[in-house]
Amino acid sequence: MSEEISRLMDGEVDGIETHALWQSLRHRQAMMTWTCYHAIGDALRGEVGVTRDLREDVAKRLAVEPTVLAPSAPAPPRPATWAWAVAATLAAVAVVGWTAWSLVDATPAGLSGSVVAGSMRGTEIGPSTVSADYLLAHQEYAPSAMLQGMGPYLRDVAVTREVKP
Amino acid sequence: MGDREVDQQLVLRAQRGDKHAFELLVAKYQRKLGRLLSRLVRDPAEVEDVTQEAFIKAYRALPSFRGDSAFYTWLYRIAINTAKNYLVAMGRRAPTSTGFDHEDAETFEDAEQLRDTATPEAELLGKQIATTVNRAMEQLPEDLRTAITLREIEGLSYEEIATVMNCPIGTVRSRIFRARESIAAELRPLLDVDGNRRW
Repeated sequence: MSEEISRLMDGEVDGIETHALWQSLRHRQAMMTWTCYHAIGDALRGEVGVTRDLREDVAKRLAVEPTVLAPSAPAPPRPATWAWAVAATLAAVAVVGWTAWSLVDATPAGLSGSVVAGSMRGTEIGPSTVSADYLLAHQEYAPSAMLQGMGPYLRDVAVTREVKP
Repeated sequence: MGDREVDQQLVLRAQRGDKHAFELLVAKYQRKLGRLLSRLVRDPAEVEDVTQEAFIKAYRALPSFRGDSAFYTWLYRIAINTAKNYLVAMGRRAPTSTGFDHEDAETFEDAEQLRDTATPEAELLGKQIATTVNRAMEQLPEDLRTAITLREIEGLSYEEIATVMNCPIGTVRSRIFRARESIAAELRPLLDVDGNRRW
């Protein structure tokens, strides 16, 4: 036990062991050892006491003092909590960013195609060789800025009026 | 865990209602505080009263201690104020300055001046303790004497002592403990005088 007290006063014990040691220091003999070891240290440093041992007198006065109960300080947030929050945010940004970037054809071939398309003029676009009937039959698939989204629902309607002789 | 952390743990326990933890701090610092206060309050009996009062005031003020400074530095300020108030209450003038600042509280050493202020009894008592400890030190094997010196006087950690002495930490631990026990065997008869416990 005395060896543990020796290590404790030097701060050379771990947290789990410390709790048990503080408890054991409630015994009178352990308390005497604690006091004696500190007196040795003080004497070696030339800090000789100028009074008698006041510990028991102070203990008697402490016994009639109201017990001190200090409000415990709020525990700081655990690092794991905010670390997980930061990691999740970064992961979400990475996924969204990667998805958006992968949709853009930024390869050299894709860029060169864009340049060619951008340099074309209306006059350079020749008349369509696709037959008008084909276009009429598949016009629901044709792009239309004005009717985008409604195209599939558009149907051609024709009215045939019979002319009576 | 260093010396300051040990104090911090005791303070935390005391702040949660463990009075015994505070008594451990009293056992640790009463000599240092008594020496400090003897510079302000010359009479040894009054030094005892003021030292006790300073500890009680510190206990009452524990909820306000947040660990921003070392416990002894905080205790030091309370003790100085207690001594000044005591002197004013007794109709004596408190010194305008203690002659040393807060940093000196950690390294207070002025044995020569204390010899002027201590009573013959206190001086004799102090000499007995010092003589006993020094004699016990001289009788120690060199490895134990070196280990306890590096720890108590130089303030080295076990790891640093192991490096200096070129031995495992476990050996350092054992040497320091054996040194303390050897000295304590000589010192206990002086400390265990009932009714007037000494140093």
